Amino acid sequence: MSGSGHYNHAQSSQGLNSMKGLLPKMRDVVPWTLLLMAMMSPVAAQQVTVERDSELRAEARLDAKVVATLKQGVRGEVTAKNGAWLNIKTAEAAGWLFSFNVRFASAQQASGSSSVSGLGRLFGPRQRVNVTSTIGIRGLEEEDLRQARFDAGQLRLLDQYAASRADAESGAQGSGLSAARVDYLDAGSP
Amino acid sequence: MKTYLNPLFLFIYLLCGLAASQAATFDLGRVFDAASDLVSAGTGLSEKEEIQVGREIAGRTLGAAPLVNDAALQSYVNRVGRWLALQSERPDLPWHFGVIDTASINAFAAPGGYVLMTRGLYEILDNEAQLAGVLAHEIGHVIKRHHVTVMQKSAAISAGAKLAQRDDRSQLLNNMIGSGAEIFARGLDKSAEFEADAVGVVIAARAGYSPYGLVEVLHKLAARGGDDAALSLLFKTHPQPGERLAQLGEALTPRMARLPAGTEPEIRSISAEAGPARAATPLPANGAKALQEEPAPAARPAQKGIGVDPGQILRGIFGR
Repeated sequence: MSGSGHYNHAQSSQGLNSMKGLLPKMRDVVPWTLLLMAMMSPVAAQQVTVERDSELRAEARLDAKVVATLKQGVRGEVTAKNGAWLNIKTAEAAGWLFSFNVRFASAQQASGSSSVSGLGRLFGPRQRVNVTSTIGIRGLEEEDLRQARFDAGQLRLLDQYAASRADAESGAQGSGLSAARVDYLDAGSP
Repeated sequence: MKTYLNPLFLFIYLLCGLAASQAATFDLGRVFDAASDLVSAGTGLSEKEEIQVGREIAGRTLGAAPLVNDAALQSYVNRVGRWLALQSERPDLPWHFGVIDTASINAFAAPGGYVLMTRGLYEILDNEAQLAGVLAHEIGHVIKRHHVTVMQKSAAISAGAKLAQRDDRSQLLNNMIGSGAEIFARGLDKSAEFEADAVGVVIAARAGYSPYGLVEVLHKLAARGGDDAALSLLFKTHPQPGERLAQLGEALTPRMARLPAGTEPEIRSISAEAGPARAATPLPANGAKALQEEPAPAARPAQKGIGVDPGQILRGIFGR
């Protein structure tokens, strides 16, 4: 009885040891694999699924000519964006689709590259692969908020970082921003 | 336009000060909001009180996750946030913006102009227009007084309506603050989130950004889906991003042709010297158990003697 217990224990230890040998190697390999995938996947690889029947238009405008109607569930590839519009290529058609009518493929569905880096290439210049927000982490949860104690030091720090009106205006100027007059949307809430 | 209206503000302010001295404080925002925003008019909380409540809640939230140790980043986010707030009806609140050090993806707005976003959210942003979209959504909650309205309702109901009377203000405020940062773990109602989305898009556009930064962030959240641990709190407290996109698309469609294209400036990266994100906060002694035992939101019993969902409040950016 105790002998058999010993045997099992030894076996599992052995298994663990061989795992330990493997783990550092995997750590080395994974980032390089991700990097390679990111480099190899073409810019146009972002996959989307049409969420509701939608009209595909010749230009990125609501009044542009309709070139096709895409049925819900159809998949396509995004090749460009223009404001609220995405240039989509499906098996049968290509044109501009209202971006609210699609869902981007998740990390699991996307072949290879993570959804983060994929959407990054589509939406903006930032190229770095995000490694901190991956599945499996535990961040700020309800329990943490419930038990949180007031932190006066951090609040003073927050005060120090506050920007004056003048700070904000010169920052905006530096980024090439100028204020525009835009009315609130009529249908702000249902 | 705002500069142009300033003398009018001053005039109304003086007029109110003279003719309506029973109003303890006067809120410029209500000049614009009065007709359309009955909710805020109904809060009855002075601006000073609102700031007091928000400051306490921000201080407690910082106790749960401190600011990212990157002064240049924090100042940058404050310049962007304040520039956006200047385009709103409450440009001169004591606005504070901060990036807190947690890998979770979320953002919070406390009353009075305290806006905190997580490092996890900041790191998935591609450009400053997306940052603006997130901050402007939170600014929307503040200017519409979504949180303060819900908190006050909870506090007043829990302790009896008499607390809402002017003769017991401090007790009312204490009750409001009672649930502390926990308010961020709850949700506003869906319409408040949709409204903040619609307001956020417009404020970002007024500030010269692409109006679609927030839309792109919502697409990112939708693509990540509910299995992503970094999103667990956000998904628990907000409507599904797909639903928000559908609502926003509907609201934007009639206006699309006239919205300015705006720009997408580069976003500042977090300094390497700030160190890695704090990926895991230590669990409290009973934390894991408490989390496992968490009832479904709809079935959550009232806590700590507060009658209604004690902190049906704070809504993160993407929340419900």
